[in-house]
Amino acid sequence: MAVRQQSRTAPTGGKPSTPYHESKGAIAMKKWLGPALSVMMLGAVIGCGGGNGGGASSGGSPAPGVSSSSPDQPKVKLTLAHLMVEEGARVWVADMISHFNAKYPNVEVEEIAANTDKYNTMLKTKIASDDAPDIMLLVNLNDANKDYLDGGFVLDLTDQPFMQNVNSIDRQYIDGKLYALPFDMNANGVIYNKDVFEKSGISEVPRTYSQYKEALEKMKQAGFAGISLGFKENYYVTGDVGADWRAGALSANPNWIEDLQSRKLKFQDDPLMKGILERMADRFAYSQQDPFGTDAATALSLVATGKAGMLQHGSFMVDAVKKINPDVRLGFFPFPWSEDKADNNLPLGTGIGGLAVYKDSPNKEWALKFLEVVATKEMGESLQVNKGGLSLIKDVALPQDPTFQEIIGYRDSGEAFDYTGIRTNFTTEFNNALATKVVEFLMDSKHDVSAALQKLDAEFDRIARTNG
Amino acid sequence: MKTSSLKRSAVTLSFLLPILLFFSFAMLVPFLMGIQVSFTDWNGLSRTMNYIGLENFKNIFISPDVLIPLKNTVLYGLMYVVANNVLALTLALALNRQFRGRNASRLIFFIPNALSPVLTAFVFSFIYKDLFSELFGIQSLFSSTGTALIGIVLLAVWHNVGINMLIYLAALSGVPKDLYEAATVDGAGAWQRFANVTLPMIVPAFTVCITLSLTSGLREFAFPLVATGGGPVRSTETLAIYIYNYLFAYNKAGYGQALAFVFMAFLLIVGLTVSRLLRRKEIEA
Repeated sequence: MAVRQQSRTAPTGGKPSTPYHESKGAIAMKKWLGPALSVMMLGAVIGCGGGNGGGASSGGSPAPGVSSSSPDQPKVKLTLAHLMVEEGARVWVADMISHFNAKYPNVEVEEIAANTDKYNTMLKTKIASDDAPDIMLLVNLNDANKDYLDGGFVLDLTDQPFMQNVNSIDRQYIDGKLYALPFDMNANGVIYNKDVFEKSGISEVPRTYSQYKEALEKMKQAGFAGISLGFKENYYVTGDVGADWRAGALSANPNWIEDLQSRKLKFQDDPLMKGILERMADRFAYSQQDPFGTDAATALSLVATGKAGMLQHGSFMVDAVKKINPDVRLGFFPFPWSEDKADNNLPLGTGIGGLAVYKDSPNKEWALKFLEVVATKEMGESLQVNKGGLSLIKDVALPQDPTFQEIIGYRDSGEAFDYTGIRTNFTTEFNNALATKVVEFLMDSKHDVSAALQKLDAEFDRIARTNG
Repeated sequence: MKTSSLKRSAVTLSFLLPILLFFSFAMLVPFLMGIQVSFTDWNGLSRTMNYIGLENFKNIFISPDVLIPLKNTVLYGLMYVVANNVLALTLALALNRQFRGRNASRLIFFIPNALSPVLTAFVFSFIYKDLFSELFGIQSLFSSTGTALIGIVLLAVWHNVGINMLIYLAALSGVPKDLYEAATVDGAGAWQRFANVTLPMIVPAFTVCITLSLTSGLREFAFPLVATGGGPVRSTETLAIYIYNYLFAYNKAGYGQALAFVFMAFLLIVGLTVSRLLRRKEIEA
């Protein structure tokens, strides 16, 4: 019997086929979908390319809404790059830009800010792609950031008249020339919450190491964390330990950092480093809970809200803490690394560097005019009020803020150590290695100092070897 | 006739041209420039660079320091692949049936993938630090060198499981129902059905998912960088972060570039090997 063959079902792996109906709408959509998608993709590709191109060619097209320019002044766009991300600093920069615009309405200033690690990456990428900012903040121009100078990216500012408006400008010379406009001084040491000290029964600021340890113990007894450690972030680790080496090691040996990086000095042969690690282990016992999971912002807020008593860093952190809690009463004292009060001076100074101008900028003249505005008494006062620092500009009255009055007090009584011109920071790779090894040392419950010194030497040796 | 086929080629080419141009300028040219840089001592900044031949490559192979990120990367890659695929397959199996919240569930599991990796890393940092300590009284997973990498695996799996789940779902829905019926008739239990019917039929999905999640896991960069910065004590420092540090932070772009090429070769070998192994399984099935 002939059996009528049924339509074969699809081979294994497929469902039996069903009649395929498509609504008119679906067909219409399919017709348009292809071309529409192609147009969108084309648009995306061209848009991306156009966007990059437009960004790269600076100077020319003004943004809409910029203050009108007088007919004979050309429209100019300046880019200003810096790493001062704290809110107070941003307010100061905005103030400078608006003052500059009042004088030169035809210039638009675009501000690019990024915090330390990302700032360097951003700056290098921009310079390498011929998109360098006209004005850039370059710190440590004589050591950690010397590459910018060697690469010929920085304009010579030696003969600029506004440079003479800066106090102690003679300390800023590199090989007989000036390359950047410094604008403030920083102190380095311990920021403390005055309320926490009072509640813990600490009547006097600790000026020797045993007094410091006593203070930590008193705060613990009163239920506070003696010291706030934001040790999740590398720069905080070296900031905290840095208060010790700036007050101690550098005053004993100004070439301490250079010698360690060149491997002329080994950690294992250095009694200064041994002391630094021991003191670190001491205060680690008084930190808040989970120091390695605490980031910098949280660490600052602990002091701002009175849960922790102290934190160690540069005086630029004072403003950051005050922004979290404007009512906080903060004080500042040098890290008392020694038993002898006479050794414990407040590191106060300015690094070599500041606002620099890109040598091949098409808007050099305008960039210099901007720096001229920065170097005025008015902007110096604005810095002290907004950013919370100590201006380097001549004839600026001292800040009224009590924390900074305390800092100036040390200078006036001769208990300050001027670190201007001394190298105070390690290069990034060394800095990261140092932070990593310190954290490793602290995580080890035995706090084995000699093992840590050995590991530090091994790391620094390795890095120095591959330095090309 | 000839003009028509020429016209068709011209039309095809005009659609391809934008993306070809983009590919050349954004990928091909930098790639070739990178090859050049890897033989120099460029610091990422200066306008000049000096040729130093194979010095960078030699330094990679004699440096024990690169073993730290290598170990982290391999460990992370393995943990991530296993966790991601096991979870994705489990979810796909659970969702591969008709129930009321089916489509909604599929969407919910896919939403994490739509979030930015940076945001996910921030949120998980917060969860580990503040939430876990409140709920469970333990310290953040990122605070200890032993648990930090696991913390990253958890957040990466949470973020990425959606894609693999969808791929497995698609593969599962392609398994003909009559195979299951035949197996049940033959007396196969649930596990035997899974092992002997489901698994062999979805091996193509394994090829795709395992190869892709392995190579992307080995390339992990954003999650550890944002969540822990590579710490504590470099325990979450993957090779991608290591290379990034040398390229940008440490002013050793020549060395970083050489590292990047060696890493690329490593990934190619791993990817091709895994893919080939799984492909072979496919044909046998």
